[in-house]
Order: sequence, then C-alpha cells, then structure tokens
Amino acid sequence: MPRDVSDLLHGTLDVLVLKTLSWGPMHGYAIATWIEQRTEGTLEIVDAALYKSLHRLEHSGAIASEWGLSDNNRRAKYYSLTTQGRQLMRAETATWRRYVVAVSAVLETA
Amino acid sequence: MPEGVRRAFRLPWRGRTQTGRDIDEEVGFHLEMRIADLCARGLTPDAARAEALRRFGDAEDLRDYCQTIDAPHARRANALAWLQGWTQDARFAIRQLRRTPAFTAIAIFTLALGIGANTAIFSVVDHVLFSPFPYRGGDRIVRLWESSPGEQIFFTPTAATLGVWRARTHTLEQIVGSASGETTLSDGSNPEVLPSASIAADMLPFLGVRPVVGRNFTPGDTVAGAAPVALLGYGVWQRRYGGRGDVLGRIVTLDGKSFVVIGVMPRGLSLPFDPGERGIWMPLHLTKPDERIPAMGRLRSGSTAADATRELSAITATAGNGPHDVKDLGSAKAMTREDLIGDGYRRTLIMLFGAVGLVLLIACANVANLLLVRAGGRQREFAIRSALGAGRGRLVRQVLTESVVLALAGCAAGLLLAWRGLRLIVALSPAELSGLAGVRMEPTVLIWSLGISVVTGLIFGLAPALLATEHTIGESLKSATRSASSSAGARRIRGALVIGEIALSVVLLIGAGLLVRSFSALEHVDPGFNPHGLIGVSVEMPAEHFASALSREVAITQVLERVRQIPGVQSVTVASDMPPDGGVAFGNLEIEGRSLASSDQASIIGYAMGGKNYFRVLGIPLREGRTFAPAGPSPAVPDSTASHSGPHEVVVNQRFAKRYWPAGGAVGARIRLSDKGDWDTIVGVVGDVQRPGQLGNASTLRMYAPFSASMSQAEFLVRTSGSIGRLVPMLTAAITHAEPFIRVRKAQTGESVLADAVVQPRFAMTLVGTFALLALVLAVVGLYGVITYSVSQRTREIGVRIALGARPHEVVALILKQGFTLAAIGIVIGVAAAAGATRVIRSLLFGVSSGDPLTFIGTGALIALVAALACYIPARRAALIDPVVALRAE
Repeated sequence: MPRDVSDLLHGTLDVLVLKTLSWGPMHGYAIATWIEQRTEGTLEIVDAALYKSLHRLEHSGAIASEWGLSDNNRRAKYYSLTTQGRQLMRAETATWRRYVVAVSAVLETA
Repeated sequence: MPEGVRRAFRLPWRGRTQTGRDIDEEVGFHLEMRIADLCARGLTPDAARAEALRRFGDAEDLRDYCQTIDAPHARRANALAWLQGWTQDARFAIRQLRRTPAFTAIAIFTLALGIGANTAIFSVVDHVLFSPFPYRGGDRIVRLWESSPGEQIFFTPTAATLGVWRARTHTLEQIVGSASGETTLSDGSNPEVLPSASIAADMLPFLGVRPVVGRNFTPGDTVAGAAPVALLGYGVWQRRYGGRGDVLGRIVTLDGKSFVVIGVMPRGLSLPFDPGERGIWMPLHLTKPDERIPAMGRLRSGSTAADATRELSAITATAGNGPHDVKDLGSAKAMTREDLIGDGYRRTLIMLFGAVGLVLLIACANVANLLLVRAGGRQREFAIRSALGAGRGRLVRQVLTESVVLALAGCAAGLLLAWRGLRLIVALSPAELSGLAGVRMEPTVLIWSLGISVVTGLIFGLAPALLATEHTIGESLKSATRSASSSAGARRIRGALVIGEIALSVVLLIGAGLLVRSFSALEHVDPGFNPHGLIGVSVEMPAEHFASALSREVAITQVLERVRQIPGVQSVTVASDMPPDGGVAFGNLEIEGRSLASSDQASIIGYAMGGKNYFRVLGIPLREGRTFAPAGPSPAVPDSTASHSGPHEVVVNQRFAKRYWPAGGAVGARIRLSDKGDWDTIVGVVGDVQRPGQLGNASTLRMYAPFSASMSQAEFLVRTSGSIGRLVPMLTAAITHAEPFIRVRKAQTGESVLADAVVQPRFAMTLVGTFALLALVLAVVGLYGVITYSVSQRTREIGVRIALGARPHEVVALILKQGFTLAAIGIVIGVAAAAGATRVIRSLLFGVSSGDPLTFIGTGALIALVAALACYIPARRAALIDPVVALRAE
C-alpha cells in the first residue's frame, strides 16, 4: 500500500484506538485487525506503534487494561475505554472532523 | 501451533522490570495470533513468522519506550509494594506473637532488661563524655587555671592575672569569672539555704542567655558600693514566689543583707563546670587584685585548648611579678570538659558500657533460644508457605520481621525501664560525680536505643530464621511435627547459645567480684586519723566584719570557748582544713646544713594548719618529738600574704621524715620552702594521713604548721563521744551565737568525708555488680530453659529407661550430666576470657590483681552451684516421669 496514506501521526492513531475500543474491550491484536478490516486493508498499522499508543493512552488514563484469557485460552491484556477516554474520544473526533472539513475545503477548490 | 514459537519470542532481557515482562508477554501473544492467521491463510510457518516480525516493527524500541514512560511510576509502585510487604509481615508477626502471650511476655521482658540497661548507661556516657555544654559555643568553653610549670598543681586565677590575660589573649574570645557558694535567703517566711553564684555583667552574654523576667546586671552593679541587686533562679522564683511578675523590685535578705530582685534566670541555668541550678545570682565584687576567682573562657573557633594553654602560660611568664607571688606558678592551663573528667572516671564509664553490652548479648541469646524452640513448632507452616510459592528469602524476611517487632516492643519497655533506672543511678551517685546532674533521655539516646533494638532483633532472629527454613517441603510435611526442632543443628545451636551466655556472665561476675574486693580494700585503708565521732564545721569570716587577722583570732577563740561547753564535745580545735582534704605548699625545699639534689627537692608538699590539740582531736599518732607548743597559736601578725609566721615550728609526717632522714633525727632539723622565708624547726613527727581511693601517691609528704588566722576561712574540728546527729545543729547554733557574723558554710562528719572519697569506686562497683547479677539470672534462666526443653524432648527416651529399670537418681544424674557439661564448658570459656578481659580494668582496681585467684575460683564455684540448682529441678521432674504416660504420648 502507498506509504504516504498509511503514514499517520500518532495522535490520529490514538483517536482510532479510542474509537475502536468504544465498541468494547479488546486486546491489542484484536484492535489491530479491527482497524485493518474497517479500512479494508488501506491502513496497515505498524504494530509497535499501536502498542506505543496503547501504552500512552493507558498512562494518561484514557484506557484501562486488565489481564484476561483470550478465546484460545491464552493470557492476553485487554484494554477498555474509561469515562475520561470516552470524553477524549468525542473531543478528538470533533477536532478531526473540523480538520478534515478545513483540508477538504482547500483541496476541493479547483 | 508450533511448539518453539512462543519461546522464540522471548526477547532478550535487558531490564527485568515488570513493564518489560508485560510487554514481552503481550508482544508474544500478538505475534502468535498473527502467525496463526497467516498460517491459516496459507503461508508456511517460517514465512509467517518472518512476515509477522516484519509487520510488527521494532520490539526493542517499543519496550524501551514503555519502560521510559513507566519508570517513575514503577519506582514508586515498587517502593509501595516493598513497604506493603513489610507492613503485611509486621501485622502478621504481631498476630502471631499475640497468640502466644507467655512467650511474648518473657521475650519482651528479657529484651527490655538488656536494652533498658544499655540505654541508661549510654545516656550517662553520652551526657558526661560527649555532649557539649548547652551554651553558646559550648564545645569551646574551657576552664582556666594558673599552674605550676610542671602542671602538678593548679590554682584558681587571681583577678589581676585575669585582667592581664583578657588584655593580651588572642586564642580566647572571652574570659569570665564566677564564684559559687551558698547563701541563706530569708524574707519573712522560712529561711532557706540556696546554692548561689556571683557573676559579673558579662556572664549572661557569655552563656548566650537572657533573664526570662527583668534585666541582667550592668557593670555599674558590680562596682563596690553599688546598691545590692540580685537575680533569682527559676526554681526559686516558682517555688517561693509563685512565678509572679511582681517579684521584680522585691527586697530579699541574703545572709542578713538586703538585695533588690531585678530579674529571674531561665529554667535550669547553671554554670559550666559547676552543675546544679543556682538559686541566687549576685554581682561579683572584686576588691583586691590578688583575690582568686574561678574563671573560664571561650576559645576562638580554630583555637584549641592546647593553644590557649601555651598562650596564657607565655603571657603569665612575661607578666612579671605583680603584687603577688606569681613566680611560683608562672604557667597556665586551659582545660576542656574532657580534661576535667578524670581518667579513672572515663575508664569506669567505658567499663560500664562494656558490661551492659555483655548483658544485652546474654539477653539476645536467651531470646534466640526461645525463638528457636518456637520456630521448631512452625515447620509445617513454613512448609506450606513455601509450597505456595514463597521463596526462602521471603520466609526468612518474615521471621526476621517478627524478631524486629519483638525487639522494638522490648525497646519500648526498655526505654521505660531506663527512664526509671536513670533516676536511680543519679540518686545513687552524689553530686561529686561530675555532670550526672543533668542526665536526661536525649533524642540521641532514643535513636541509639532504636538502633540497637533493630540490630538486636536481627541478631537473635537470624539463627532461628535460617534454621526454620532450611528443610525442604517434602521432608517437613512428612515428618512428625516436633522432630525438626530437635534436629542436631538446632540442638547444637541452642547448646552453644547457653554456653555463650554462661561464659559472658562469668566474665561479668568476675569483674564485679574484683571490683567488690577492690572497694573493700579501699574502704579498709587506714586513713591515718580517727574519722568516727569527728565533725568538721567549715566557716567563713567575711572581710567586711573581720578586717584583720587579730579580729579573726578573737572570733575563733570565742567560738572555741563556746563549743567546748557543749555537752558531748570531748575536744575541739581549729584548723585550715578537714582531713583528708588539705592544701598544698609549694616551693623548693631546703634543709639547713644539707644540699639536696634537685630530684630530692620535692616542690609540692601537703600542708595544713592546726590549732591546739589538733593532732589529738584528729587521732593522728605522734611518733617523735612533740606537737605545737602548749600555749597554742600565738597572735598572728597582720600580714595576709605570708603563709605562716609565728614561732616557726612545724611538724612533719613520717614519710617526710623517712625520706630525708632515713636514719632518724628529723626532730630539731630546720627547713624552709623558699629562699626568702624564715627557717622552720621541726619539732615532731606524726603518722601519715592517707586519702582513701587515692590510687596513686600524690603529695604524701605533709607538713603541719601552727594555726594562724591569715585566711578568712577556717575549719572547726570537734571530737565527740555522743550522737552526731544532735550535735551538729547545736554546733552551728553555738558558732553563730558566739559570733553572729561568722558564716557557717558546711558541716561534715569524718565518716562522710571518707565515704565521699570513694564514691566513684562505689558507684562502679554497685552498677557492675547489679549488671553481673542480672546477667547471671538471665544465663541461669537460659540454662534452665534449655534443660527443661531437652527433657520434654527426651520424654519418650526417659520413659523407656525408667520402664527398663533405671532408678530415679540415675535419671537425675543423666540430666544433670547434660546440664553440667554445658555449664562447665561455659565456665571454662568464661574464666579464660575473664583472665584477658579483666586486664582492661586493672587501673580501676586497688589492692587486688586483675587475675586474683580467689575471685576467679570463687565465682566459678558460685556459678557451678547455681547452674547445678537450675538443672536439678528439671532433672528431678524427669525422674518422676511416668513411663506409661510417656510411651503412650505421640
């Protein structure tokens, strides 16, 4: 896939993670595959970056983690959205929308 | 899922943090899932793995990133977890201890004894040896003396000398003088004798204190003829005047004179080198330049006492002869507080410190024994814990926590004991022992106490902790509950502990025994005079009422007349001092008609003046010749600077005579002490007067001259046949009645003076004796405990023996042999150790050698006896074991 499309700023990655987790608690691999599926393969996230994002978000209190058992009975770390995270997600989403509108406004002319 | 996959993703350990481990596990999971998916899509395992790794990115970098973010939190979390671990351990330990109250109580009590004794003695040592004066620049305050060039004798400096020093010193930043004494305060209600001090206006700034009420003296107050003012001590202010502010301006009567109170001193204010709160502070009036005033100074920072000594000596040497014979002194000395503490006293304190250290060790050994027994019964508990995942370190830590908790509880109890004990110690030792007056529990002491408690806990907890956790799980769970504690290792350690305890207590007891014998020898030293039935009343004849020597003579004669008539008084005389105290004369001895080698020219000779019947009243035997002329002391010539005048007769003591006239013939010889004086004729030789407790031989040459009232102080010596208690107030009353302006300073009996001379050895002996007995009790209790426990362990064996026909006395012998072996080894080791250890206190012993066989053998026998008794009780009980019961029990 073209590199420039999948070259995302990590702030954007954060909001993607938050949105993904708003669907329910998931472990890191599940988040990665979810985003890949939703973008139909357009976005191939570097897993290390994803985990960095998860760690940052947990540190700031937006998400919480818990060790649990996966479907195939292996020990995995599950992340879930906190109230603070939900607020952050709404704020970031709104900001992203304004950003998109602004950029589109410039690009759409001509 | 291929087997090796998981292991392959164990990333290299660079940081063993929890974060790192979590990341590794998470990443491992992620990669597994990815590979599984890729394999499901058709890739080969190897290709899948390669692809998964590629897609993942840099795992190392990820881990570093996460660890960096987590680092500060991780540290705090670790610390918290660690703290929680300890808290958990401590709480558990307390619960466990509460479940066995008897054990806990005994252990805490034992520890309290050891730690309490340690704390008390440390308080004393710290206060006397280490803490500086609580005043401004306290560690630089020194006492100043004039001295003879060889520093054999020290004199209170004269006012003139102080002036010269003040003007020219560079090493001292301030010099102050003060005189202490006693004064009678009477202002309507009951008169009270209070310790007093006379100071100048510069004393309070020197100390760095201010009156809590009112004002300090001004230089104007100390000028002759100024209106008399006084400062009250804090205690007096509270006690007599209710701490009210209206005490300012009040008029009080001190020794019959009126003073106006101008202020109150801070609480507990005393002079350095002169402990004890002063009740009254008066202005210091210096009337004559050769008046002697105790002085002290503060060193400039950077100067030492030795510097000051050199400088002041140089100043004195070049000051020339003033209107006084400084040439005989010619030197100076600055003494720090440490210097003033006698070497003997320092050694005594260190010895006491060592003694309580030994007591603490014995207490530790006892508690360790107790813990060992207790730990044995918990084998199963430890085994289960270990099976549930506790590492050996964790278990050891838990046991150690218990020990430390015990030790801290013992510390708390010990501090209480120490607090009461200190009061006792201070009460035991009269004020003569320097510096004990202000001993308190300082924060330093508390820290020390806590410190040794924790160390103690670790020490006595270590052996049980290691022992309790040494067995593997399987062993412990399988074997019978009690067998683990009777393992050979545990038994040996317990035996070794008891042997150690006995050895240590042997050392202490031998030391105490030596001190007791030494003290007894001291007390039995023949003082050379008869102290029983002897009273000495020390008086002062102030210059304002007794201006001339003649007036003093007259007063003394009046008093002597009066006192003679008191019923119960056998004889009375006047003297310069009460033996065994006395002054010294110094100079270069000359004997008429002989030239003495310089080594023979003793320059310091004990000197006293005595009136009619002096030797008879004191009971000093006459050896040759006669005492002073029967006409008694002739009227003194009013020349206050001559040391003695009159008929030029002297009496010398036997040592003096033997030294210079070994073949006899001292009587009739003529001697003098300085080349400008007159010759004195020796008219008699008397017996030696010895100061008990004098471990050296200082100034044993003595000279007696007829009494002349050249000084304002005198001592009336009274020999009585009746009861002393009733006589003393009658004497005092008679004296003041005969001459109202004479001030009675103090009355003492001959016996108390001698007792005071040995107060330090008595103090040492009492304390060490107490500790030694304590140690013995602890050690014997330890032995008893071990033997009793051993019997309980061997119940079955003994039952079998009895069943097989053993007689009671055979059983008793069996147990006794076990106990005796332990005790004997302990005694042997102890005696050997004591032979070396007592050498340390050799300088404190008098009349008995540090290897005195009687003491050693006697102590050994005593301990053997006590040990035998201690073992006998459990042995007896063993003989009474019913074999049926013993064999039936599990």
